[in-house]
Amino acid sequence: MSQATLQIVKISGHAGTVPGAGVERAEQVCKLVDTTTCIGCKACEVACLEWNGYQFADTTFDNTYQTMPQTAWNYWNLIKFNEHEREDGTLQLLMRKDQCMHCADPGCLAACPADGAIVQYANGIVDFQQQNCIGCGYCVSGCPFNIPKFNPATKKMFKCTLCADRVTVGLEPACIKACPTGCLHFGTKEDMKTIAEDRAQQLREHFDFKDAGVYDPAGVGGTGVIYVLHDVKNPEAYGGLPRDPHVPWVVRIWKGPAKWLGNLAMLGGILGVTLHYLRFGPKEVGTERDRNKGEQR
Amino acid sequence: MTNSSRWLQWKNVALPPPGEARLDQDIVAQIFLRVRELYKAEGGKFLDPILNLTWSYTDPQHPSLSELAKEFNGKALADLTDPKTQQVIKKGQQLPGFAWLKDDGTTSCGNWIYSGCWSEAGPQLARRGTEDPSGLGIYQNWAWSWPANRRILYNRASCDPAGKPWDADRKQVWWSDSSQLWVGNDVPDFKADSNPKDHMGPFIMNAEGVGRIFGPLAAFADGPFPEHYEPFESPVQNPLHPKQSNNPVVKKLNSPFDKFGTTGEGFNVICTTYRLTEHYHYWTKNNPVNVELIPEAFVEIPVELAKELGIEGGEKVKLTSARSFYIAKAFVTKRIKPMMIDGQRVFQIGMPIHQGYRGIQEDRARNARTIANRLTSTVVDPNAFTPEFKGFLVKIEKA
Repeated sequence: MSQATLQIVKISGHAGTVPGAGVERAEQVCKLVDTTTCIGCKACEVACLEWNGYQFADTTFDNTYQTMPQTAWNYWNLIKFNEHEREDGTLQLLMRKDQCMHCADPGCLAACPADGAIVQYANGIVDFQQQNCIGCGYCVSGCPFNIPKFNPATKKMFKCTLCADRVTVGLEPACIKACPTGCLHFGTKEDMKTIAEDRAQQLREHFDFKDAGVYDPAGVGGTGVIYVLHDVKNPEAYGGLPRDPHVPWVVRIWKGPAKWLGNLAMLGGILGVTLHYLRFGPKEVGTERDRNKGEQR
Repeated sequence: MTNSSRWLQWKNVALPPPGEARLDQDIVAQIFLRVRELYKAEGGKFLDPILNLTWSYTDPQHPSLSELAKEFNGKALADLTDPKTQQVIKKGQQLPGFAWLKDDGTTSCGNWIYSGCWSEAGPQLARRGTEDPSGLGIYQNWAWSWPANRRILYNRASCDPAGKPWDADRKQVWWSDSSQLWVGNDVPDFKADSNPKDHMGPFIMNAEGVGRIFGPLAAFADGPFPEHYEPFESPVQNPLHPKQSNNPVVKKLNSPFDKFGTTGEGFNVICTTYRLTEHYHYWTKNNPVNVELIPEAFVEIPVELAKELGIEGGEKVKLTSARSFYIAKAFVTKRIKPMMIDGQRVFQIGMPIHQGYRGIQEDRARNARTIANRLTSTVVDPNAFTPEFKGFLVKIEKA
């Protein structure tokens, strides 16, 4: 793809839409990952590392092509590999690009107690603001995809930004730019949904994937990263993609009714103290002798 | 820079080579000059081409790329005259193209296909013209394409026998009655004045002038029809003709490493080699990010074979062929299945070629220094000389 920093509107020989087309409309942006055309080359992993300026880390061979078991605070994009045996005995090597899903209803944001540490932009990107992060890690408990990761050196949380810095100036995320097969698409949520549904239909009608479909889970209000899966009924096979992700009820209650109950209890406490003061007045400390007596006891 | 569209594109130097890296042409030049010194001092066979090779670069140790490109193009060593057009090329001038080359000592040329890339008109390969009057993406004036700046080979085939383009919307070349020449948007890859009435075929490099479905006997050492042969090392006989299991005209080398093993000697597992998308040949084992993606050498082993040998994923294994051995970690996978051939269960394993000798992990002793192609057999096919690295026999054990 071109090295130009100007926005591209047409591309030769490119499968799908122009990456980033229409994003200046400030609609919901979306990444589409077509797992059926991913070859697991990990070019997106390298692009992510390099764009975000992270260094080489030591890894160990673990009987898999997967670079590491899960994403890290400085490794936001990870292809998850799975040798999946289907019921008919045939084998699939499934490869899914794992990263922040940019939920419309982000559990991390709901769980976060620090003012302004997690924001959601008008275009749907969920972004961590490390200068406001207190490193409590509550976002981890709010995330159904196990994405936020802790940097022990700076005591801050990190994750994929959906390249907010690039998207702001009309560019596609770095991973999209690096993809050699065109399995990664980027644009408006509407456009990506259309491409994804078309592809899923093609897989159902022209290939032997009767259960092909689009993963855009409603439990978190839909996501800013959607997948085309060969078998949408078995998302777990794709490196543990949750079947029905939702913000944990603990977080919901804790940040919803429990929060109001807590606030109410706190208000009640203040009210009680005030009423007590009005009714009984200040607690009076007695004479010198009373105090001494108290100490002797 | 060259590409698969046969372009030569001149690029200016951006940075000097880093560290101990040297320019390709410096390496070649310095090896050659030292070898020539040895020949001068010690003598040897076939001396003349080595001692008398033209080496007239400004700095013999560091030939410049412009000097080399001009040498590829070729020049006149005497005054030349084209008998037809009376055009004259003076001694010392750059040649306009390969049509001027002669085998009588009056011209020199580094490589005939590149003749025309740096003529008296200047460096054609440095052109940057973006005009494309036909709109077909031909870009005649962008860089230079061998041979003779032809962008599409055999473009005469885009015309019917009468010399008229098959597709009026996409005209590459055509016969011009008025000029009695082939003309067009591209340089005709054809004898320019061959009238279609003479029925010269478009595939000018074939004696028949037409394309080939199969090659004539002389074209291949083992033609004309495609045939299946077993690899030189194979656990089974060729089911088509067991008496001649492998190709009788393969080329073998005769060094002490060119030995072959049989299943009888315990080499009972088929091994194949391949590359990974994460690495590039033997270079990227020195690049930290590629090493992060695939940090260690591994051998892919079917689950069934691993079970038989008691090998767990991540354990070190040793492969041995008749030639050498290789040490890597076991990657136990369902992706390679055992095969049933002629009632016999045959296992195949696979190894990427990228690791070994020196690299980030080799220097930290996390990878063995053994390399894949010490294991493979250097039998080459008799036509393209492609080595048989994709099929050979090994034995496998815990390291």
